[in-house]
Formats: sequence, structure tokens, C-alpha cells
Amino acid sequence: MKRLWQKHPLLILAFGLAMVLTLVFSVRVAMFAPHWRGSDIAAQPIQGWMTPRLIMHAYDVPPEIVAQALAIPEHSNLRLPLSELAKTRGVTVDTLLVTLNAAIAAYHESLAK
Amino acid sequence: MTAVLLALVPEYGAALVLVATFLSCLALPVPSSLIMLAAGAFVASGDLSAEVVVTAALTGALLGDQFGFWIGRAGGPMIKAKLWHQPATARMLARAEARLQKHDLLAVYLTRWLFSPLGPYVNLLGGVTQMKWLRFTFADIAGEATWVALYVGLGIGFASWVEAMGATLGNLVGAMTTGLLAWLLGRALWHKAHENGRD
Repeated sequence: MKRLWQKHPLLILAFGLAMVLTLVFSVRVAMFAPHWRGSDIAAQPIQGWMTPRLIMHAYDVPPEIVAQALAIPEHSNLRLPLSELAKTRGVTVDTLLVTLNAAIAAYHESLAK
Repeated sequence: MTAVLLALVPEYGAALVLVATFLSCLALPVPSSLIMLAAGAFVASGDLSAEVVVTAALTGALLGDQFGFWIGRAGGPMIKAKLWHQPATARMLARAEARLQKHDLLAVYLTRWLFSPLGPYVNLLGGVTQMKWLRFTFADIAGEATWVALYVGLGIGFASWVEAMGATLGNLVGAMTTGLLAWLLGRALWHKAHENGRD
């Protein structure tokens, strides 16, 4: 073992590093596991990079609800993420998100009734 | 950072996907897997077209791989002459070359998606070791098709989960790749130890 270390220190160091990195990546995979357990789509918050159409699709909201909340035409092909839409309006993404989330929550409530 | 990048995907669409896959196949640190997941999400929403996204991703990836392969082939004789100069290095490289040639199709196929960080280096090695171009390209197309189908497909299926999925898959591929390297290095050490025992 000692002779191996004297003859191939780099090989041994590389092996050790690879082992450590494997462990680090495995732990990180495991850390994300609770994220996935029992998850439903709605649990993921709407993000600034999402487009109106992605929000309609992923959160299962009718186009008119999203269009109304964002003040855009109902059948627009707007390929603009919320963050860009906010910029053109001169407001923050959070402002848009608050309005949008409230509208979606109200829609879901109306369905429950 | 991730959010800024993801916001570019619906605006620049196929062009961004093509540039990202091309650069990542040259070993540049571009999060092309995340970009493909996002492109898949925008395919699901109808913002981008599936055909265009898949074509762009495949084109970028294949161009990048071919670029690396031909650089390896062009520079191969020079690199070899330099490295083969030292008998010990030459012996090690000859062994590595023989092993790669034995499993060349599998090595190229799996380093497109399962061990994707190794892809660019396998492209170069394939060129340097004079792997047959047709064999390389055959495995390359199969591997990149798997990579693109997997990531764009997952993006389509889990549209709002792109960020969590990107992080999970990134770490998973990282663990697989470093695990493979640990195994290969461990095996080399094992052989060295036995050689030493015979000294």
C-alpha cells in the first residue's frame, strides 16, 4: 500500500476525489427526494420565467382567467415570460404574481362551490 | 441566474437550444439539459413547436460532437507523438485505447446522456484513436436522440417542475459520472497493486 502511494500518488488522489464527489452528488440527489414525495403540480409556485400559456397549461387554469389577471388578450400568442411582461408594464414580477395567484385561487374556490 | 436563463427560452426558442447543445458538446459549461427541459415545458404549453425544438437540439449536439471528433482526428498524430514519447505513458495510453476500442459504440452512446459530462472528451478520444467515422456517428446519433428525447420529453410531462427536475437530474448525472470515474480509477489502482506485487 505504501509503495503504491509512492509510485502512483496522482492516481490515488484522483480516485479519492472521485469517491468524494460521488458521495456529494448522491447526497444532493437524496436531498431533493422530499421535494418530490407526494407532490402535486399546484404545490410548485408560479415563477417569473413562465409564460401565460405555460401557466394555463401547467396549473390547469382557463385562458380567460389568466388573460384577465394579466390584462392581455385572451387568445394572444404572447411568448413573453412574466418577468418580461412586468418590465414592459413598469411593475415588479411580484406584483403580477400576487394578482395572478389571487385570480387562480378565486377560480379554484368557485369550482369548489 | 436559473430564472434569467429560463426566461430566455420562450423568447429565443430553437436558436437558444441549438447554441446551448452545441456549446455543451464542446465541454463548455452551458446548462443545456435544463434548457431542453424548459423547451419541453414550452412545447407542452404551445409556445414552442416540438419538431423545431427537437431538430434544433439534435443539430446543435451532433455538430458539437462532430467538431470535437474531427479536432481529435486532425490533432491526433501530433498529440500521440508527444504523449507516446514516454514509455510509461505510452503503455498506459495503449491500454486505454485498446479498452476504448473494445467498447467504443457503448462508450459513445452512454456518454451522450447517462454520463454526459464525459461526452466531449470521448469525442476527442474517438478522433485521436482513429475510431471509424461511421461507427462514431451511428452511436452518436443514437445517444443524442436518447438525450434529447429524455429531456424534452420530461419537460413536456412535468412542465411546472423544470427547476426541481433540472437540479435532481443534474446531480444524478453527476453522481453517475463521478461514480464511473471512481470505478475506472479504482480498477486501474487494483491492476497497479497487482503489478507491484509481482515486482
